[in-house]
Amino acid sequence: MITRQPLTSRFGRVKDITDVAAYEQLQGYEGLNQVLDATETQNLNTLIEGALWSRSGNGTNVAVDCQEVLTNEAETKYIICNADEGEPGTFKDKALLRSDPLAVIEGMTIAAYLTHAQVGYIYVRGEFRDLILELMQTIENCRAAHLLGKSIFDVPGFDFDIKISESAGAYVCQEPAALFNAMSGATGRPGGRVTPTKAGFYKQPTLVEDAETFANLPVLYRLGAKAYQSLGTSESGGTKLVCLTGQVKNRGLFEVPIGLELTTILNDPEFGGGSQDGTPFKFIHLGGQSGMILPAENITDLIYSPEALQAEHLTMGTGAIVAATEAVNILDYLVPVARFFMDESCGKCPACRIGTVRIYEALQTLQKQEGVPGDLTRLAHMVDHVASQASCFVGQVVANPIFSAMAAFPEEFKAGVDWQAEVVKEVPW
Amino acid sequence: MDNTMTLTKKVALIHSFEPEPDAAVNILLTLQQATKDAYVDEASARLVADYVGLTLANIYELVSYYPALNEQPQARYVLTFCHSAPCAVSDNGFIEKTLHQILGIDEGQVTDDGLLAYQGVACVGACEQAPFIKIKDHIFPNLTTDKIQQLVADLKAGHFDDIL
Amino acid sequence: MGTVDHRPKITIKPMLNQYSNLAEAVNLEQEDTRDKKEKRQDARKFIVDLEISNHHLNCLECPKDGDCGLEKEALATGMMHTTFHGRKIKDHKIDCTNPFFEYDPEKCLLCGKCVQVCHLRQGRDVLSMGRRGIETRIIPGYGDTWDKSVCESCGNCVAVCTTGALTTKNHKSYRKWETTTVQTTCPYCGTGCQIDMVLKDGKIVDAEPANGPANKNLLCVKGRFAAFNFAQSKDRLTKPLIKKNGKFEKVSWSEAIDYIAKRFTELKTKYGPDSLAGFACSRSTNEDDYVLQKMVRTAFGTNNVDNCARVCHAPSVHGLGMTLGSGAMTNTIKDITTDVDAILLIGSNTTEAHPVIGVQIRSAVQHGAKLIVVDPRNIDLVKNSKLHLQLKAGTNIALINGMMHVIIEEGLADMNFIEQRTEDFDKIKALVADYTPEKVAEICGIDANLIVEAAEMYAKAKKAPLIYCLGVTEHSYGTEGVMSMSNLALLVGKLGKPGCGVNPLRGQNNVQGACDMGCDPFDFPGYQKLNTPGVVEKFEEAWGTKLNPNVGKTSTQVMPAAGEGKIKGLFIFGEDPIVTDPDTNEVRHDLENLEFLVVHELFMTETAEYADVVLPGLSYLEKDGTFTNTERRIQRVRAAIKPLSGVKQDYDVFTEIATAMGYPMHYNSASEIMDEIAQLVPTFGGVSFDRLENPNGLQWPCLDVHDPGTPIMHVHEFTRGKGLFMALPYHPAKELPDDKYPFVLSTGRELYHYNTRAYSERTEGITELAGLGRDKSYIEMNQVNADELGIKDGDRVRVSSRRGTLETYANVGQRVLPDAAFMTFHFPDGNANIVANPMTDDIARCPDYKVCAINIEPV
Repeated sequence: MITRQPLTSRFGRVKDITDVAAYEQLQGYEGLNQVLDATETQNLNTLIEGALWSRSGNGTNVAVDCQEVLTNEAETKYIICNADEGEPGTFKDKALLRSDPLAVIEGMTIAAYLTHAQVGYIYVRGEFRDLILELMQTIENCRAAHLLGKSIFDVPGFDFDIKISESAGAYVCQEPAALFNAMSGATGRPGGRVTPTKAGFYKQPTLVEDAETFANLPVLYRLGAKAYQSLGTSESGGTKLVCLTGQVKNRGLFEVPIGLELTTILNDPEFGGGSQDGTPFKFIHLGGQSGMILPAENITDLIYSPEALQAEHLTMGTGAIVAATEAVNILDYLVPVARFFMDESCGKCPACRIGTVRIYEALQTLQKQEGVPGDLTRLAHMVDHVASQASCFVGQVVANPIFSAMAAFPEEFKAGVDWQAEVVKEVPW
Repeated sequence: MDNTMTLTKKVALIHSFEPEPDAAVNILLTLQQATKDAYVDEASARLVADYVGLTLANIYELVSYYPALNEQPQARYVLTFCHSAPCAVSDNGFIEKTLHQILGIDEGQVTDDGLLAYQGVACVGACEQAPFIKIKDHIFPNLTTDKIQQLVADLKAGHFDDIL
Repeated sequence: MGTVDHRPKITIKPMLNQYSNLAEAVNLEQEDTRDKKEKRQDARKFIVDLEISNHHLNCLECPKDGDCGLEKEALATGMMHTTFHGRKIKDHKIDCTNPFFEYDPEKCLLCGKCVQVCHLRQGRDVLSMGRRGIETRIIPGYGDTWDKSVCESCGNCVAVCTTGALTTKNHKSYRKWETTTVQTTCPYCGTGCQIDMVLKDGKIVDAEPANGPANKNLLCVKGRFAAFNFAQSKDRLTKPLIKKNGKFEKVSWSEAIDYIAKRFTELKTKYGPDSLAGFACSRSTNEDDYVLQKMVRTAFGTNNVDNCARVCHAPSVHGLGMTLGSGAMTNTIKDITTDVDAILLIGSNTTEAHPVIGVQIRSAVQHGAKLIVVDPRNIDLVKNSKLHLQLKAGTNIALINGMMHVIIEEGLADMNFIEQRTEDFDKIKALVADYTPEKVAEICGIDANLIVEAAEMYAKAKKAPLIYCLGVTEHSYGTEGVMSMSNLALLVGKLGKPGCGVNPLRGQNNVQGACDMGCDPFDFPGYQKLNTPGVVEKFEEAWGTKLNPNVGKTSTQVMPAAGEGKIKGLFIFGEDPIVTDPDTNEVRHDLENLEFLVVHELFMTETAEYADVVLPGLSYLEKDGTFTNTERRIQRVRAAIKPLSGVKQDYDVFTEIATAMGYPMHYNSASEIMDEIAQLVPTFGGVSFDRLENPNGLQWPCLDVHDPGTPIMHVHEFTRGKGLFMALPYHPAKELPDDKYPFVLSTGRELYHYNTRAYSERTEGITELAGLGRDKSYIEMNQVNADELGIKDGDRVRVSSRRGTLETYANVGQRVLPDAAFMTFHFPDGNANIVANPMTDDIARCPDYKVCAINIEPV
């Protein structure tokens, strides 16, 4: 029987997570061995049939990216595991690296084999010193066991090694252009758009994924495409790590099969277990700070799968779900959201640098119920301008939570306005 | 920087990395964590710049851009709390208010003895343990007013000297 | 790994969040009825509104009022004020700590151009875009104020700023709309930067970089901030002065000129024409210098005419003249700093002596050129170099012979080139056989491997210019040193090609021109040698008078001859030998011994004090003419302001003296003088003021009006025919350290002052920055020696040589080698020339400023 939670199956079962032998005893490297035994076409087909979607929230199909990196010829190609996880309410990659780092490394090694990449990086928050030390030890152990290095797995020419690149904290580094700058020693600000699979890190073909995506690869190849895909839906295979936070009873990390109902994830005792005080939920914030805010009544029939969410213009994002009850005013919730974008603006483009501050200030005014008639229109236009003029996603996504919240809870926004006050002059833009 | 860290030690630490620009942040973080004052001073920055082949201005840009790197000496214990929305739902400014009350200082200030400061940060991925305080690598989870008072007392008494 | 076989094609569109509907959000209050075009215009308005909301709005006080990018955008969008009331950047204090410019973070749009200029063009990397979000600001150095950074104050960041964030302090006094500009050529070093002088009410109020071929919109601190104050300085000389009873008295021009003519004529009659001499000015125009040498040759009747190239690059003129046929840079600045593989830089502290060429070298390194620095000092460019050969001063020839040894041994010599284009290869081959890297390493005090590496790097590079400066020429074997340079380049065939060549960086703005104009005892204008048959006759015919056929004395021979009583009368045009020439005490004695001295100057200099007659001169800002820069580029000098009242055009002074002495001369304009030069100098044949209106000027040789000029010389053939190898053994310098004077002193320049500082010291900010911020002399010495002598950085020390003694501040560090020292001659409180070595090389008669035995002791 196949476990329904393959990504977390080793969590807590290994005494020394850096120990390669212990990992192998628990089906470690079985996926990679499958890959080594198959042809390139078979491997790519497995990936396509497994229907593995990137878990990082960028919404790409992993098979497409792998194939592009493979096709683009270059002397050096890179596999980058972006485990920096700047998205508030998200801690799945840290959990993977803390509990099962070898799964991530195996996944990266599979990706390297598929794409002919030679150099891997794990980009991880430098503050987590203990985590980094463990990772270093794990990598050392892999090298000692010839699982990283030159001609690994006794395959001549299969050269792949992993380095650790430390992040000092910048949400914008989720944007590949900023990530590559940061990793190369420049400041982590985006410098124009990049196509990672063509000209990524050091302008070479690069596969960038998060730790969860890489951890899925060994599972996919170990189980085979069909079994893997059947964990999820017909269009999206596998399971998803979900981070439940806010006022759910069971906060924390859960591995859920893709295709589950969202309400099940929130309310089933196996997962969220409903709200802390038993009252109904008012809204959820889906996929991270950059995701949409949905009123609870709208999610009753929602299926937690990429395709079902896409139909509603939603995404799983990083797998973060914040849930709140009636006790939380939407403006009280949005102010820290706006503050996050303000704090994380890199300062490069004016729309985001100053615009996010003005949005934060406008929301604070409404929160304090000091708004005047016209302020809501102003806010809406402001958010629209910032979202459409920011040069990277940080400013662009501001609209998601704010507009969805405005649509969902118009009365709470209107309550922030003193309707007797003098009308703000016409919005000039 | 911490005067207990000799120049020789500092240089040895820097030289344990590869002399490439992409090692700059790794070095700066390691250097900062290895020192008591937990900041990158100009002299150390210059050493790093020369070693990795970046300019002092480049290093300054990194240090001033990233929240994890500090330009100024830090308090012995910097109590960080999360001010992102997911935790705000759970604690609604509880940690900040409590610390303000207990310590009598504002966010970003340092107690007169140079021992304590508190600072809001973006998500550190401990959302399920909110309300929490994080000091360096260590998380003190699910706090109450009493627990925070105890923590501050313990810190003042030096009970965490060896782990933090 | 397996071979690539059939790959399945997959195309699936990525899934992304879409913003929820603006319309829906707006509909909370009212409907959105705008069309696309309106939305686009609104977007622009929004950004302006945001920027104004974070802007320091003091437009009336702001220097950039009327020339501001944000103001312009506000006008275009109609957003004349902000609709926001939010917070601004917290750290908004204006940084005024730089003497020349200010930074107001609250006016900064963070376009990043200044950071890019500092990083990519200036190569100084002072600026960064520090912090993040709304707190992002431009920060110099390590987060401190401007004065604490290593900023060189070039001001190129200011030039690209679109708002009033970075403005010059000069700019406070004018607004763009009140000004006009005049483009001219910088009066400092030989780079030949183009400057726009900014004029308000007939006065120069500021200077801005122009897009000249040599400077490409860059300037250094002197060109940008110190190129005009001196001309408008209150202490300019305004009237001719005659010394009567030991005191200067103001006299009329006619009295002065009659007096000068009378005295020179008397001396000429009594002692013969060769008892007279004239020194030309390498800072003045080609036209002035041409007329000056013509006056000396015709009216004085002697070839005792020289210019200050004698004490800097005369060895280049002689040395390269002998081996290649022409003693100037073979290639252009742009050519040797763009798209080259390696640069061999010998004895040139380029970033200080030729700053704008220095930054172009830094930029070449950024683009992948490997820089080899050969210099006894740890100069700034060492940071950018692949190799630093820190040899002992005075051992260049040994090093070059050693490099040639390696190149021949390793078969890296360009035998084709050698065979077709050169002569006497056998001699050089025989000579350098002896110079093994080990032997040379011993002489130079460097690692033998470095010599091999440098030789290989230079020889193997496809494009590699050799660039040198006074570290090669100012030696007791300086001319031999120069010929070593051409030997090396000939050996690897790196001449007559793009990105190669032998490139002496000439010192003053027009020292190239002064040499070209025949201010030289050996040559008529255009290097037409006195002793070449027919040359004297040619000029006799052109100038309509009998000429003296005898080679004259160099300036370094004239001065001792004055001391010995052989030279009786001297006309000095814009030189200050007491400050610039080695062995100051001896120079004073020589000047005192003259019977009649005329000094033609802007200011009352130390030398002028010794004169019998002092004539007021005009600055470059008050005259039309041309300067020829180090790359042989003739560029226009344009009168920006009116001549100081009562002061004549300099060439008029010379023609009037000549006329009074019986050789009538007159020119109506500088252009007319250039026309005469073009007629007489074949390499200037196609040069005229009309053609010089071309923004690129003209590079000689320019033979006729159809000739576009010559960027790269010796392409098909060397000027002398074949390139000549000169087998030159290494000799130790003529003055070596001993027990009494154990240190080797080299002299040179620093960035902020220029030579005698007559120009630079008249700008206040310069004196704040110069001389390590004290504007006082200093001596660089090594920590090792300082420790031995108990000297600390900043201590007063006594420096003595066989010639004199001075006191100065110690600057202790690692910039010079142990037992070596360095001083500049910019500071009157301790001018290195008091102790410097007047011994000259035997060919070009250039003094050895680089090797002088001294003693240093604590005071």
